[in-house]
This record gives sequence, structure tokens and C-alpha cells, in this order.
Amino acid sequence: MFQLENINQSFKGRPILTDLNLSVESGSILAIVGPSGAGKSTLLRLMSGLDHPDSGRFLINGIPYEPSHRKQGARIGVVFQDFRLFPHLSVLKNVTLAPIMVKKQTAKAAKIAGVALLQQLGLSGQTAAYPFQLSGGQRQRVAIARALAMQPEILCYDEPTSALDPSLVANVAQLILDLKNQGMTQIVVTHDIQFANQIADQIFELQPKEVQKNDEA
Amino acid sequence: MIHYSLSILPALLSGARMTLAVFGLTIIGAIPLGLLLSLGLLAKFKPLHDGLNLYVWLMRGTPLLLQLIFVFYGLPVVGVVFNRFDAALIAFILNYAAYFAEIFRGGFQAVDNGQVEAAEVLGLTAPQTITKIIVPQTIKIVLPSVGNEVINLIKDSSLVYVIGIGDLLRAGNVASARDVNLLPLLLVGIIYLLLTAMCTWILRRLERYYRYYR
Repeated sequence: MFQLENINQSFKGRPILTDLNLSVESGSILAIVGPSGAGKSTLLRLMSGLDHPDSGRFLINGIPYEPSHRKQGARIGVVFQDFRLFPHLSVLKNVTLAPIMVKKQTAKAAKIAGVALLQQLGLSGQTAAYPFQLSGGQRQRVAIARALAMQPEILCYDEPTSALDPSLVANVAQLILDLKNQGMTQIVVTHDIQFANQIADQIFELQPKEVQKNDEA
Repeated sequence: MIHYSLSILPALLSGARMTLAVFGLTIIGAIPLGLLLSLGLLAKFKPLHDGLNLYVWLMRGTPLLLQLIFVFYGLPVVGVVFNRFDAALIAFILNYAAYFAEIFRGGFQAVDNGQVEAAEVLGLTAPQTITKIIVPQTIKIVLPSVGNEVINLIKDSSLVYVIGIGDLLRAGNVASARDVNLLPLLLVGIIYLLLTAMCTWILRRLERYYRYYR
């Protein structure tokens, strides 16, 4: 189980997240929804260790976890909204770079694992291609393969449907559900409530802070 | 005319050798130094940052000719004496490193910060991110600007005549004045064109190589 405990984060004195508590069962899918400005991206940056919360902590299976400590590789993988593939590296090298550099796998072992992963994601014909040669959907699957190659316990997605052709949304949903069947814990940040309903075991709604204040008043 | 050209060619080629020596050694010194300076320009430590900005301003804000004169004739006043060739190299490397530093700084900043964050969440260390992600992408970005400076340097190297170094232009000048003939200078122009054509060709090849990704 992955838990967030009393997370507080403000930006330039403006509170964005206050006393946030949240937990995800292992192997399940949590969707975090809410309008823009509600703090979805902030929350994702905290979970992936790109920013530090003002206060609060994260726990994996009850043990405190610091997302920015990634010496042996992060336990939380991230698939960015704009994928952020490395444009100068081939698809396979995008996937094998971190296992080789961070997990100290041999180039050969990383390559075998990477090829298998890409095959599983339907990219076996694209291993030698460069990101600019791929479609949006293919790029996203490379980004997922790159994150999975580090064998994270939790995989986070930032707006996985926003950069895609609408006809591909069902494919992503299926892919996320397939990964769930393999036991992956997944957190999906999205503004697409329909998509969230389609995949999630649990939906958490973030509200912009101003709105909450108005409700209280 | 052909006979005359052939008779002065050895002198011109020996001058061209000096031009190439100044050119090559300046490149070898100025590119690594410029890279180092650019990292300093991007550093958050303010005194370092400010000091380097002052350095870049001085080097780009005054004529290279003046810097050359200063190193060779000015520094001996305070007891620092260099021979002609060393003085030329010092002035050229210090000057060109400032230009390269600014080019590299811009190149580094042009690499999307998302790349750094992507590397970070995968667990890459800062040195790994610099060598595997940032530098390879920076090379492609800076190549055209670096190429411009390289071509400029071939021609700028002719400034060494002011401290009495016998480069290509000086060799042509000497022959032209001695024989009261413009032909040596025409040949000098042709040799410069051949040198820059060669550099342009190499740079084009490099740029074409980096077209394997976008």
C-alpha cells in the first residue's frame, strides 16, 4: 500500500494542498481528478520526488519513503504528459539507459529485458527508431516501457489521454488495465472523468483551494 | 605569371602553416576552456557568475587586435614576458573561449528542462544527466554557431601580423611589397578560401551526422 500522510504544499504563500491524506492499495488503480489549478500536477511532482512537500510524508507498505532518494532507482515511475523521451537516443536506448546507468545492469541484460518489454507493449518493430519517427501513441508506450524498465512498484501517469488522438484513448485504458492484471500499482492524474471511471478502482477528487474556501464561507 | 606564382608559393605555404598552427591550437585550447566557462556562467554561485560575465564582457567588448597588443607589449611592463607565438595563442584562446562560453551557455539553456526531470525521476545522477542527456543534445544545438566562430578564426588569425608573426597574410604582404605586385595577395585570398571551404565541408558533415534525430 502506498500512502500520503498530511501532505501540505504551498506556492508563493498560496496553499495548494492542505493536509492531504490518500492511500492506494497495491495492485489497484487510483485516479486523481479535478479541474486545472486544483494541484494535480503539484501532487504528481511531489510523489515523483521532483519537488518536496512543505510537510507530510509518504509511506510504502507502512515504511516511510522519500521519493527523491533514487540511488538504486526510484520505486515510483513516472510517465509524463509530454512523454519527455530522449530525442537523441533510439527507442531501445531510451529504455535501457537508466537500467544500465542506475541499476548497473550489463548492457546485454538491459537490452534483453528492454526488447522483451517493448515487444510486450507492441513496439518490437520500433526498437531502432528515434522518438521523432513515432506516433503519439507509440511515444507514450515507449515512455511507459522506459519507466517499467526500472521495475517501479508504483507507476504514475500525468494526463495520459491529453496528448493522444481520441481514438487511442481506449488503447491506453486497456494498457493500464493490462498492467494492473500484472500487479502494478498505478496512479493516474487526469482531468478526464470519463476516462477515470473507465479504469480506476478508486477516484480522488482534488478541488482548487479558492473553491473550498467559498464553500466554507 | 605561373612561374612567378610558383616562385612565391613556398613562402606563402610556410605562412599558411603558421596560420593553421594558430588556428588549430586556438581551437584545441578555446573549446574546452569555453565549455568550462559556460558551466561557470550557469553556476548559481554569484561571485563566480559575475566574475565570468565581466570576463566575457571584456573579451567580447574590446578588439582582439588590442588584446593581442596588450598581451605581447603590455604585459612585459609588469614583468610578464611571452614569446610572440605564445602571446598570440594566449590572446586568441582567451578571446575565443569567451565567445564559445556564451554559445555553450545558450546551448545548455536551450535543452528542455523536462529532459533533466525525466532523467531525474529515472534516478540518473547529475553528472550522468550532463554527459548522457544534456551534452549530446547541446552539441547539435551549438554546432552552427560554433562553425561560424571556427570560420571567423581562420581569418582572425591574420591579426598576428601586428606582433610580427609570419602568417599567411604577412607572407603575401611581404612578397607584394617587395615585387610591387598584387598577385601574391590574390593567391593569399585563394588559400584562405580553400581553408574555409575545407572547414565548411567538415562542419556540414558534422551537421548532417546530427540530423539522425530531431
